Amino acid sequence: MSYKIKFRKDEFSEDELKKMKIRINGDDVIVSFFDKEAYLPIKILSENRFVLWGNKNNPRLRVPLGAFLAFENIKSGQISQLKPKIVDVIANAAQENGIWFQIKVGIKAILIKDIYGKEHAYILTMPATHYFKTMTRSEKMPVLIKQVI
Amino acid sequence: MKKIIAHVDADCFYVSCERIRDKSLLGRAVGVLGNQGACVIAKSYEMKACGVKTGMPIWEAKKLCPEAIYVKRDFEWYGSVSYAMQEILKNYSDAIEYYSIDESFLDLSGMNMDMFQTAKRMQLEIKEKLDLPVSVGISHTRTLAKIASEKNKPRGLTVVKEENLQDFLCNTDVSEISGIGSKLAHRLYSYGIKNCGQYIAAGRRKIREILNKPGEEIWYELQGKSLLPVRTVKPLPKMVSRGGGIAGNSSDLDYIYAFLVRNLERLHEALWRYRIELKNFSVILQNSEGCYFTKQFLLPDYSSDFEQLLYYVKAALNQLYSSRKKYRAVFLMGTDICSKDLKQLNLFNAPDLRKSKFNELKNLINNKLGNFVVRSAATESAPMIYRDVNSNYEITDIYGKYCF
Repeated sequence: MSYKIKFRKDEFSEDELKKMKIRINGDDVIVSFFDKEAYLPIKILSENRFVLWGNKNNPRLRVPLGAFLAFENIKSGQISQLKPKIVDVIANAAQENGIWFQIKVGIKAILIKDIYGKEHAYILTMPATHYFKTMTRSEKMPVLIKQVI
Repeated sequence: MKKIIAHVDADCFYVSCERIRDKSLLGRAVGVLGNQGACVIAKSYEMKACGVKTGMPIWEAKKLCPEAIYVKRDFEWYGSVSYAMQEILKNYSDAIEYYSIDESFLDLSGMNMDMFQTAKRMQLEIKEKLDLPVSVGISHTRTLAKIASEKNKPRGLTVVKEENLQDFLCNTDVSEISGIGSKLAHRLYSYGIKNCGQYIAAGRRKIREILNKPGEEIWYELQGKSLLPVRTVKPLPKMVSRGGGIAGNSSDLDYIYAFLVRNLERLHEALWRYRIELKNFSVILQNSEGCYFTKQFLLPDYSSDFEQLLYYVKAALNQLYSSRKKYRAVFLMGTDICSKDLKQLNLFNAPDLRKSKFNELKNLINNKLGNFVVRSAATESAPMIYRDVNSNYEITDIYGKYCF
């Protein structure tokens, strides 16, 4: 699954990026779920900000473990008690099994709060299209905004 | 008076088209994917520098260029950029040959102009208006102009005149001549003919012996004697075909039928666009082992009727399909083609005017709003294959060019 994403550094101010201690690669910023502190850049009500990416390994937070949630499960209401909100992840590329692929607009994610009120964002996934499977050899893919791969 | 012919060739065309609308791709290794995401059909110079070749499977390309970004091909967009480039080139000449999606020849003969400055203006205008980098070659023949545009890429500007012709020929390998692939080049090498200067020195008779008439034409062209004109009118195709992979191997009859109908829609659109009809119609299935199974039909009369062709598609599928096999691709091919406008009408079978009006309207709507917006109900059995608008266009859907 897409544990690494890239976005343009001009989506955020220099100060914000310094504060997050994020890896900058030229004009791009790369974030990974496996970073010590994993954050996702999201756009919510035309504001760009960083939120915690999923939940690495703390079941006490009472939010799902991992970086992703299946879109089918959200649709069926499995975590409706957590009052999930749909947000957009800011990205221009994502990596799947070592293949970087272009993201044209962004990725869909959901935002939920843990028992301490802290926000966690999870990338939404769906069964991979044949094209995506051939390209990345992955059975699942992120839910993309206005883009079909 | 000597002819003046220009050849304009976009640099890394597919990648450049993607960079027009996504600036974050500039300066990076970019690969455009085709064949259902399996291989690189176009690459940026940065990717080329890593050793990635066109046609390479993505998994091999990834090993050579791990930081590359891959983009799904979008022929509708590439077609739009290509047509926009043609519009700009019309400012320079009325005699334009739309050779391929990213190349054109212009006949500039009789115009009082500086060849280099004209080439530069074309290059700058296309860059300014489309943000598309191109290389331009100008010379007295199309063969020389095409070789010239390949030199000094990207954003190359090469003029070959009498004064620098000898130098140019001696520094050009025969494999750089359009129409001389590696097999023919090796044949020439075996005769001691390695560069274009040696090609000419070998003499017309010798070249004709080795490469027949096309080789002889090149022999004249390389000397600046124009034999091959800039072709401004595309002749009627001798064959029309549509087809390709069905997104995974399948033995599902309905799924395979849906792809056949999809390609029939595309073929029908091509027949409408070229105003042609066919008499020989073939339906071809390729199984997962790569074997082809063909059913050929000789129609009672020239036709472009969708329902009639669909009847033959169904008949062929009934005969060729086996539930024990998996299939990976389907193709439809029409030969023995005539122009609709020159067709000998049949006294006994009057054309169905209502049907032809409907088809005309359907094609006009699809031409304006996108392929398959209006399509046959026979496509019902696999609605998911229409979900991706990108896949609705292939390179063959970009009309007017000589290649494909």
